[in-house]
Amino acid sequence: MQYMEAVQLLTNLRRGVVEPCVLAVMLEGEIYGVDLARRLTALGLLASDGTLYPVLARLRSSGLVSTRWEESRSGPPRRYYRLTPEGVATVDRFIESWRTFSGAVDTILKETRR
Amino acid sequence: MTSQPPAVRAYLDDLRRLLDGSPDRDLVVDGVRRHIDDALAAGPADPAQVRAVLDELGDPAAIAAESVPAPVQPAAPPPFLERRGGAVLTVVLLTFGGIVVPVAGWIVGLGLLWSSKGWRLADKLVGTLLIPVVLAAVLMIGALVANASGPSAAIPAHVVLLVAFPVLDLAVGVFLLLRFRVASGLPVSR
Repeated sequence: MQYMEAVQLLTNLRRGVVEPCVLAVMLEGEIYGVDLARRLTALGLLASDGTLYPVLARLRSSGLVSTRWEESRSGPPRRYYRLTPEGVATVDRFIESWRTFSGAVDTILKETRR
Repeated sequence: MTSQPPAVRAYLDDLRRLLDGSPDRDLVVDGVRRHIDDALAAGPADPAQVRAVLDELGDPAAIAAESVPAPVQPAAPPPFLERRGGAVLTVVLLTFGGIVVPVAGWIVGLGLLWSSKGWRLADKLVGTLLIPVVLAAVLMIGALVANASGPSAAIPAHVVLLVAFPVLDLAVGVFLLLRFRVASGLPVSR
């Protein structure tokens, strides 16, 4: 596969799962932007750190995530992100759907393996 | 933040410009700005460190591409006179308006014709001048013939008007309808 096609495929695959993955990280507790971005970028779930912020903006606008300020010992105050009750419900629904869906993809790839 | 390195300012300016019109613009720019502040808070910001943080953030265009796009403004439909309905109204007034309301109806039609963008200048000139010029010419020739060969040989003026006017009138109407183009930003293809 050509390099650009591979990049485009990854972009398309990320599109539907980045938001729920961001929410899923917050199941562990509140987190601030830099940590969240580095963690997801390291896993390849984000193309780059900066692409986290449009996702967070959408999640805030749709009421799935709320924010809180906290003073930091080492620098400027940090904005922490956490799930709202609607956010928790959304992650739960996603986990349910993802298990079924990814199981189906695995099955078809196994059955048709050459 | 008291002093922002120029590279950071340029990066945020780029991002803000690329997000122009997006409803999430301020939230996204603010999030990225705080990310940079946090990432550089550990120590004095030397240029290499700044570069590394901006590289990890990625191309501003990639961030903007993830964002909610600016709402698309539906193209406004052309005003009534620029659409086919307006063209038909204009032509009907030009051809029959003068019959229903003598002179005034035709003048209103002329006003619509000249204010429309659906016809080119040449078409407007034909639509305006063809009938008066041809009728005047026919009547003048008739008068000359009458002078030269006596009144009995001349075709009476009212016969000329009754025959020539409806024919010309309809011809101009059809001509204008055929020449009408729904105005667009594109040059009319020939």
